[in-house]
Amino acid sequence: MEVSQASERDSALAAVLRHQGEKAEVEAHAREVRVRRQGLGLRHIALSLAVATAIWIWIWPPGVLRIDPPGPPAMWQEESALRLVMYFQAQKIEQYRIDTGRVPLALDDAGPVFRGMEYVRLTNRDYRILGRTGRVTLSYSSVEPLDVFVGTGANMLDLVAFN
Amino acid sequence: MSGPPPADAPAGGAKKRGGTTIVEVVTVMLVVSIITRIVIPQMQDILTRARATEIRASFSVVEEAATRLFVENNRWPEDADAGVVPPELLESLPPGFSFERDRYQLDWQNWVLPEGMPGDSTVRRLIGISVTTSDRSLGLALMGLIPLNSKFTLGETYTFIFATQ
Repeated sequence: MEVSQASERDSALAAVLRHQGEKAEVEAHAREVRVRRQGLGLRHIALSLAVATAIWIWIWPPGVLRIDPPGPPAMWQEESALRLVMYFQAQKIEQYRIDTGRVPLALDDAGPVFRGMEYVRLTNRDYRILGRTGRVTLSYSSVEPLDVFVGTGANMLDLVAFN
Repeated sequence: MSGPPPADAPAGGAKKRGGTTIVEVVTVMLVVSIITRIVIPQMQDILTRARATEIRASFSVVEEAATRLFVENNRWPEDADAGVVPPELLESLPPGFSFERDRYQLDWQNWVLPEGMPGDSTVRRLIGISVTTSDRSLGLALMGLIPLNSKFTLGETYTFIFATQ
């Protein structure tokens, strides 16, 4: 009988110990799952912030990081530059007229042509030049005073340094 | 039945796996994309400035050759078409020097002005170089780089006057 009581006690003790071991293991597992979930939540937040930052930087980069392509020149600058170039073109024609006694049949007879120039010969003495840029179109007729036509274009070049 | 966990295994039976997680991959891609977004425009800007410096150096070569010709013969090379080396300068320029470049053209200017400049009839000739490029950033970088007051822009052409007569 004593033997039986001792073995029952041992098995009861073993069952209790086993139960406690299992309980500790379950608690440890639960703790680990909790920690992992917290970490996962933090990672999700960090990842979302990183995605948001990347989108922000790509679509609306802050001024410090942005190098904007230059915009077109102001209309008045474009018009003044065109007047000046047409002035030079008219002078080439004038030089040709002085050399030959008549205006050229074609514009390139008077030398290299500026971009965007069209030429209409009216008579042996008179002509018309049409100057175009992307946004401005001007017309000059040789009957107009050239210095009046050049207008604000005269201010485009500062030649003081050469005088 | 599996055996007992190895001595260096983490407590609680968690297994430590090698390789990278999707989160790590995405994070690295984000960092790379952000750096790319910042670096590419800066690199383009640096390249543009480098090209402008190269054009400026070409200017100096042409200007020096033309000035030498003027000093020796008392005349400037005649006006030439864009991309064409004036024949008078062929011998003075380094071998293979071209006015037709990858992203731009040089254009020698010798403008005769029988009526003079507006407001100054004593100026009868303008000597300069134009650069034609569709790259506006390059043109403006060049405009900022060359400290002449006598320069102007029209469309894709940037003109610099360096002598008058």
